[in-house]
Amino acid sequence: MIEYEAVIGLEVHVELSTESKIFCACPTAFGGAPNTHVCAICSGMPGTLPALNREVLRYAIRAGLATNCEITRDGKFDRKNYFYPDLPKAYQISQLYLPVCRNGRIEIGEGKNKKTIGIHEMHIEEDAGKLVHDPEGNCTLVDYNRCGIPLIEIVSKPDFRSADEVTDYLERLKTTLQYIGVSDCKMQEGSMRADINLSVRPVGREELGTRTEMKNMASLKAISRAIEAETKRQISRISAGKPIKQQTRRWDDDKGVSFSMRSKEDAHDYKYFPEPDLLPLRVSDGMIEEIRREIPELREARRARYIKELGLPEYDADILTSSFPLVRIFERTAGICGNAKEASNWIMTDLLKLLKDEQVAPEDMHFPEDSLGKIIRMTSEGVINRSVGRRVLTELFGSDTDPITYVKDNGLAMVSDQSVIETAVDRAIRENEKAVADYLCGNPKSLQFLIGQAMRHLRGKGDPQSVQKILFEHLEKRR
Amino acid sequence: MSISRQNVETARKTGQEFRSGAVPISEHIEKTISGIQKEEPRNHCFVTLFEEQAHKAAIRVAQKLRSKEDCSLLAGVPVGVDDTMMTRGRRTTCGSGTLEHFIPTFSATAVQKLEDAGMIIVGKLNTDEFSMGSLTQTSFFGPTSHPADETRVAGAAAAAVASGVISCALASDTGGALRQASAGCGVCGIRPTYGAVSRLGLAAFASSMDQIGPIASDIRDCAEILNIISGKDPCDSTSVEIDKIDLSRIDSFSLSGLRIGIPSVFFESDTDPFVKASFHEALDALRSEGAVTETFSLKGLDQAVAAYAVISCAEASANLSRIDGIKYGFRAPEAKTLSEVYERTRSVGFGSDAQKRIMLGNYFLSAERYEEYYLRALRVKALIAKGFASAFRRYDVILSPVSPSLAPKKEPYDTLSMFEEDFFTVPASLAGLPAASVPCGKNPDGLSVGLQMIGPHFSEAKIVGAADAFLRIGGGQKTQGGQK
Repeated sequence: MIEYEAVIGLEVHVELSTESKIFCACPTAFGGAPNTHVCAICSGMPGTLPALNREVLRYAIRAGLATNCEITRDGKFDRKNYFYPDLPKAYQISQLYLPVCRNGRIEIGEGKNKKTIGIHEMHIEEDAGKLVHDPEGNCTLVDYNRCGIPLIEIVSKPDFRSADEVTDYLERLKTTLQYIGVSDCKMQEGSMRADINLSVRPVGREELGTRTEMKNMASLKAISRAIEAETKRQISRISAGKPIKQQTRRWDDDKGVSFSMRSKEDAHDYKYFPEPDLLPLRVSDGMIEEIRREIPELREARRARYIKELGLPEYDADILTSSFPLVRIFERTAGICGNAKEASNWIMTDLLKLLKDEQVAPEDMHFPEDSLGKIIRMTSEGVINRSVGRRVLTELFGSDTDPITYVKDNGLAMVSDQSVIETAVDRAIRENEKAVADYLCGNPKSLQFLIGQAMRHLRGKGDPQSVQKILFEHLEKRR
Repeated sequence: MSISRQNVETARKTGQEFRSGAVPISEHIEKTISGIQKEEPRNHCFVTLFEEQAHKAAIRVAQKLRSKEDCSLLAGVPVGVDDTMMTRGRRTTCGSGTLEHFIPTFSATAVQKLEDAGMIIVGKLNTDEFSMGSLTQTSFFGPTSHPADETRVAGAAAAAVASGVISCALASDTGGALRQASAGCGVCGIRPTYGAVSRLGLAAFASSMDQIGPIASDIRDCAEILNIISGKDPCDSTSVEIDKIDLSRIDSFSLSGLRIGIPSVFFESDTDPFVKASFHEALDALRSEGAVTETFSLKGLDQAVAAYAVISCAEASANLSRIDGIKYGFRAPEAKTLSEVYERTRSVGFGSDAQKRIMLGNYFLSAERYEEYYLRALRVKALIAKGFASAFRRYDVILSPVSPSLAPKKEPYDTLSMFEEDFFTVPASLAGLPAASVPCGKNPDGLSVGLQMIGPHFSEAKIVGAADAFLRIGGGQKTQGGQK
């Protein structure tokens, strides 16, 4: 029995989160009524010209630096020609000959499974629009909103051998790109899409087998399933003595099978040539250094620092650094409350639970970055107690209201006024003669009950230490 | 017979009459439009007239002049614009059936600048389909007639100026259309340095060579218009800032000591005898004023037309792909499937010359041919540019005829022979150099020939100076030319 291995390479398209499109001033915001984020330029009107949004180049270089790429000093744009209704100019401005970044790498795996995945190149291009089928009119309509959204295509070397390696790489790539703020990498919204090139060969053989390509995979699960199914399909064909055809296949995730879309003979000749409407991209050392300084501490380094310098448990450091929105809220919270461990505890127990309950991803969280820090500071300063703090967090999650104002306006601040506490304690004693008697007979549990009663009269806002102290004094007087 | 600049007032003089109040703008515009309408059945220069808009603009500009607002010297002057340039809200056909009813949503930067300067666009001039040609032979709307001979063709902007219905126009020049049109009708035209005028709003033919320039009966009017339309445009990455031409210094331009180079291959070419004779006479006239002429060899010129054909067809094939029947313009009504929409729309919509060039361009760019054709053409282009650069260390200007032949008859043409007509004009296009065409002779049938003056990048002022000096000594006044 011959043992086979899969050889996999990835082409990942990532939409850059610049404010405006790559060659015009239209917004890049996701959604919007069809054809409302469109102008003469991105809809390909005659006589229009592209003018490069310089931010796109900076974002692409930042992505290249964060993945250890070499940056091309004299890049160029090329035209990729093909007809399709979602491509208004009938050519895509892309980079074939001199892409912006080359020869990068990303580390995947842990411990002895550590492995380096090579990045062949990273190039800048414009996105196309979307076709929408209208069942009522039984026709296909075009929405050009997405036309001209800046993309980088990250082409890996064929270094993957399994679906797990692929998903690990994609997770890390996503985290890195989110850390450096160049993309939100939301696969469900199409801001991160992957094409899979896959071939199989007997283990130990150098030579590559014939590969197939699966395009526009839109979730990690689908990618994983598609890789496993395609590996099996190819192995079973080869084992049965049938050849693998070089072709593009479409993965149907619902059915769990892939279909042939077109074979090599039908492959497009894109007739690339240098884009005459744009000047060559000159990238200076100074520009690269400036962009390098903009890159924040990346995940691995940050995780190690959290453990070593902040003394966080490994598990907490792992979770907190898993997405940049969490990093941001953690560091902001720790900064405000002045206690990293407290900040971490609150996020790990309370905030993550809220996110899970509300089914919100950290990057979609609508919660001012200052809020949690302020809540924790109020608890440590004794303004509110911990349970009120939790309540405030739950009530304010998803709103812009300032926690300090909220505590004040709703009278949630702890009561530390002696006379008010004494009144509540008196009432607790008066209304619970039996518990008082039990306590005096030596049952310490009754003390907890009486504290609870006094707190209830204080509507939970009593300073627990004061309440306990005053209650104790009053009970002792009765002996 | 005399050349047209004696028939027509210069644009600057007309502008002066408006400013002094001697002539009301509205009246002049009305006269201009009725003049065009009268000549139109014979000339066929205009595709669309903007009668109503022009009248409104006349009132607006007159108001501005009365309130002493900052206006250019050409405020109120009627101007024609080649129909490959977008005019917002006003029909722009690019000379193509595919855009027969197209109304653009924005104006070309050059058009906008003319209007900002108070010039009044009276209509859109006939053009070869997407500029593919020089003398309107490929226009969907049929060719423009030559002013001197109805059986011959002419570039519409030049013909309109030569016939006196307008004093100036904007035209486009890729391989030499503007210059050849000017030469054929005995008027002046300047193709500026590549990038000097924004290409935004000019329907692209060959993006790396397309340029907008002025045509007028008077070279100083050309300079004045160039001053209005030139300059860096943030919306055109390939545009550049150029110095404005100081017209007050033109009078003092001296031909004495002017160093003139003539590539020797230009003398060896298959050129009409009258064109050749006029060119030699022009050189004699210049030498008699103290200019020094010298022939030299410029490598790659013999391959310039081939390189131009490859590059322009390649770029055009991509530029015209957007005309696909999906978003705007003509769509073949009988098409049922997506590929039928593309195939039928493009094979019915485009004229045969455009289709030929698109097919050629696709061939040159195909994976198997790219190196053999496209990359080789780029090397020839680089070689020619280098040759010019070194020549301009020795010469102030390089001269040649504009077109190897006289205005052709209205007859079926073939694409290859049209490329041959570009022999003298494509070198400057490939090198991105500024070049003027000035009249230098007219044969007994009234067919004109032009003298091309090519200068280094950004030397528009020098070219205008030399051209103006040449015209002052009567270089362009020769008629019955050829023999002394």
